[in-house]
Amino acid sequence: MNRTGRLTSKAFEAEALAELSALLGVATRVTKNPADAQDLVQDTLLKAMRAREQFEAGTNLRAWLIRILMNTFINRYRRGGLERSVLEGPDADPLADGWISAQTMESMRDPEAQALRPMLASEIGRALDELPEDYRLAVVLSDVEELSYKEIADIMGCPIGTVMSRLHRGRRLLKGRLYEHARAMGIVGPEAEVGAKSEPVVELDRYRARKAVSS
Amino acid sequence: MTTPTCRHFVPLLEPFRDGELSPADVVDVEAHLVECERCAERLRLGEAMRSSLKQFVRADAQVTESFEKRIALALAAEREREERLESPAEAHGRMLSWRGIMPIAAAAAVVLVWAASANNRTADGGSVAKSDIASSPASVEKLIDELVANHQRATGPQFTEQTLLPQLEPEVGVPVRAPNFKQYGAHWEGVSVVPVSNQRAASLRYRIAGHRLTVYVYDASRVPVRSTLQQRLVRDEPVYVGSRHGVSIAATERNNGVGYAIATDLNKEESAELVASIY
Repeated sequence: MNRTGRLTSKAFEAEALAELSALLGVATRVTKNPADAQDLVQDTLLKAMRAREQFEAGTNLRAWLIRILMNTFINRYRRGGLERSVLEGPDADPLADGWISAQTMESMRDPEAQALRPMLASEIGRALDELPEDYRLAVVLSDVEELSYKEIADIMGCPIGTVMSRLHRGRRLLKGRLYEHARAMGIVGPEAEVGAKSEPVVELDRYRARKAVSS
Repeated sequence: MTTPTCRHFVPLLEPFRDGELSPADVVDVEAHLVECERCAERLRLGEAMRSSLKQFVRADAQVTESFEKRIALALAAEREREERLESPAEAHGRMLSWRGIMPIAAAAAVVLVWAASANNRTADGGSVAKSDIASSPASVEKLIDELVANHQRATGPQFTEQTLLPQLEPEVGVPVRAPNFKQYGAHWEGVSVVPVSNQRAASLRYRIAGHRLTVYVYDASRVPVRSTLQQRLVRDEPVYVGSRHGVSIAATERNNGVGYAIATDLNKEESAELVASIY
């Protein structure tokens, strides 16, 4: 870095190349086409190199590069901007996954690998790509690229609350899809029904709360 | 089982997992997780999903050598364009390009010397692994370059969980185990799969007293790393050492055909000691 805090072109080149894998991962998910993804990454890095004096030293280079990547994608590859999801809105019930029992959730995991069971892991890519675009991007930026909510909000041009909602909804859709797949593959069995039956604890609580308000 | 307090805690579980909660909320969530198996399981399933997602996205968009070269060339061309704009005097521009050429010429000379010595060893030593790659000095040079270049790149790991290493075996072609360097104070960082000499090797990352350490695990019959290196004995164990661009390379092979090579900026003796400790 020189006296003005600007990264030299060589230093920038080295740091940007270290982010190649992250950029290609995001580009592949948004373009859904490997050749377009590679072009998008190249355009992004050339733009970033020309604009590198705008990068604030000490902030997250990956987040800055992804913001350029998304702007490039929207301007050049998708004139209409990001698909707005039709599923926006406040979350009605935070316990909406209550129908999946702890036992069922456990049988969807591979405890040794600390990941999903292999048969579910093979499904997760398809499930991810079928998510509404805003949800998919939020999930990839948080779960894969490990960006903060603030960084994701800057990239997506929305408030942090919207990022949280998109993340929650995206993950819940993924979980629901994986659960359906697990049922179809016979990975989870009738214990799911037991889980569903255990839910009246919440229902009763909700009923009492409502009754207390109305009386 | 879901308790009424879950209604309060469930919306906090994702921000908790994402590291976005205040310290006070973190304490509350942790206390709830101890007593609520269902929320603990919600969290574990979320973590499992994240881990599988990460693996999928990384594996589906692997940076190939040719793509990396394409990007490096594009950036280098952009840098040259900037330099030309910044120094309009044509004569000065020519000087710069000659300055650029000198290190390349020097590097080419080193490559030639290295290749020649590798050839000599191939002719003299009977223990050199036979392979198409070993018979071509250019390929052998490329192989060492690949090991050094990958070591110097600070790319993030594909994953960090050692328990997932067996999943790499079909890709790498040999059992992948993480050597235990705890006695040397090494800190595990993660693993990725990298292309080496048209094969694939597991690239295990550690940090040891501030130095980055890469351990490659590969099929020794297909990736002839040791054929370019000098043999040494460490505790009566043959290891193969060399260095390039300030990076030490030390390799060894085990009876089951698994090759291990270490790339680090520690010195050759330390690298040899590390690689000899692998069993």
